[in-house]
Amino acid sequence: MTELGLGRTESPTSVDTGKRVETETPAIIFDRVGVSYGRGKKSTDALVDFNLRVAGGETVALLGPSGSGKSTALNALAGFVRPTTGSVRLSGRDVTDLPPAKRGIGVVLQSYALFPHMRVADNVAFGLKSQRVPRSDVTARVAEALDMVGMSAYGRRLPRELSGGQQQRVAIARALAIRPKVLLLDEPLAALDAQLRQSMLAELQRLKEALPDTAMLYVTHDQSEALALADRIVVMNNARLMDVDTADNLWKRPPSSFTAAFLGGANLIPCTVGRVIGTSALVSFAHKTVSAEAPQSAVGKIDWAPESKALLCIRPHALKIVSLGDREAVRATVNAAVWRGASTRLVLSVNGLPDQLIDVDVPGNAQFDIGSEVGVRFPDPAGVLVQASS
Amino acid sequence: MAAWWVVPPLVIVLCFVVYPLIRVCLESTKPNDAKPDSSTWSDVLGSQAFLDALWRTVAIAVTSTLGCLILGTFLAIVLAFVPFPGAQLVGRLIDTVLALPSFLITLAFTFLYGSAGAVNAAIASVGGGDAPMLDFLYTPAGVIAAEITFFTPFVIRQLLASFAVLPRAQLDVAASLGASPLRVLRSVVMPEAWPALMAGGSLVLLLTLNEFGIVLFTGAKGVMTLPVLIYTRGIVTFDLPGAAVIATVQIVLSLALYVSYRVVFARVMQGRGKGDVDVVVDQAK
Repeated sequence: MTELGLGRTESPTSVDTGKRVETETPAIIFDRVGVSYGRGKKSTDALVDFNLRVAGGETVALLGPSGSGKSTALNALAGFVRPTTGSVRLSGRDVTDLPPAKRGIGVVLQSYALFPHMRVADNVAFGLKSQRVPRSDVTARVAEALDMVGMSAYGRRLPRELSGGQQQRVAIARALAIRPKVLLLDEPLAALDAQLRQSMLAELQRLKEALPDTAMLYVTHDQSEALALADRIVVMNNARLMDVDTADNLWKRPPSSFTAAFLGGANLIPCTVGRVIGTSALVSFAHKTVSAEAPQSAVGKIDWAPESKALLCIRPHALKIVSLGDREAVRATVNAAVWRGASTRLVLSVNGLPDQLIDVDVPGNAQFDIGSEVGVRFPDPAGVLVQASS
Repeated sequence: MAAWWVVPPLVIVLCFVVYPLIRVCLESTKPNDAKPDSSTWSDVLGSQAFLDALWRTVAIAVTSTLGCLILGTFLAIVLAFVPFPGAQLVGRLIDTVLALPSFLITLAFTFLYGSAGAVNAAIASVGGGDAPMLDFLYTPAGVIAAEITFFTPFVIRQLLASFAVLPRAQLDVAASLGASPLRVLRSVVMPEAWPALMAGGSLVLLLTLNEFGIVLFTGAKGVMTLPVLIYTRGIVTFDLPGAAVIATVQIVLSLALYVSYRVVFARVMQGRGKGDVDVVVDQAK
């Protein structure tokens, strides 16, 4: 797999990141890292040929479904699993064979992993004492870390006396107290309820701003967390890195059908490429011709040849439900309508696309009869082309 | 109607557990089938034989328990945290020991460390001499060694169960924070395994306090414990009231130990971490 560089220079954050790359040694380097469990025929690949560089101060989210290898990558970096192949570097130093205690990495896990018999302050002080920080400094640094996560008032409490969100804050304070250059967060919000998750997400964004020199690797299966926090997102599937880019690029121009579907959900409509001019193309499907964006890949030129097969990626919110009389619209039948709070998700079967269901998001609680016919209008450009074979 | 279901088990417990114990206590107050009095109690409790046996019983039980706790903790840590081929087999063997009768250990000890045992024979073949070099089996040390061998698995089993439910994430995080394996063991693993250690230790103390087979099978001279004294008085000399007095003391001792264990255990669980924190952080401004 091609070694992937740091982020594109599109967002202000990634511009900063790009500059850092040129001048500084990356905080984290995964160099062709592979992790396998078992031997011989029973061997299972948990991570295959994983390459990634993370700059100091950069936040990278590893996003993927369960079993995609994202936590394995994090464990390999933390030293909890030994890579079968490849090497891991921290600030240029090869740490592949170093035990976790010698790596100086802060780790926050989904289960919090607070020590239940220790009070909050002692939990936070644990790393400092382990690293033999002078006793006089320990108190100040514990207070500083607790203050950073807004838990100063809870130093004397036991973990069981705290809510889930408070426990996660303590876990973050404990990881930050040792002032790590690299902070690993493995699904830190997964155990929290939806409301608490949103407030903790805001806390993490604030924390990220407060730690401009700390590289963060954030493992999640929740795309909203990745979009909110990450400077770049690494999309993973089947133990492999699928795509890596800024959140904005991956959202607007997904390089693969997997990324398009996993990141935000997308309609992937099989189409035939017509005329291509620069990064625009005319594509046809269901007896209809529309314009589409024909992006170039970050790692190589894509040849959108005329008459070639491709997938047209359209986000559900980009499609509009219109009356059947609209001349620009295609006819569709409502298969399902599910109210999702801010919007209603319609599942439609479109005339001319027999094996394809299309998702459309309509604002508010829209009422549609199952089996009724509606018109669907595509935006201009209709969407982004994604390679059919990817 | 549902309350009637309580009656059968209650009757069984009363008939087969409570009544025999009460009967033993009552027997202790009936010297030679006469009216109840306290003369047997004062005679037995004042005798040097009883006091020696009481002291010997407690000393052997406490020493054996301490030995079991030290050896059991070490072995449980090795089995749980030091990966080696055959660890599972060793675990199974430990379970097997739990299923064996205690006197078998003493018998095995006799074959190994007895005057004519394999170890003494091996030493004699190397160094010569007729007198056995190893001669501890028929002393209190022999009883303690046999009890430690037999009862250590009771501690190991409790600790292994405790280690098995210890979240792996806690150990990983502790290590990532810079803690050495020894520190992780001391500061994270053992404090959380403390209730299991207490439970295992209390169980062993109860069992060693009441152990009869090992002491009798060793045949150690001068190692007269309370259970052996009860046997001697009741079966050998037919002094049933005297045996009943000692048996009552044994029951009280066991129950007192059990109650103490429950009280201490409850306090430990309730008060874990209630002491002062090592690190004092200012309250919120």
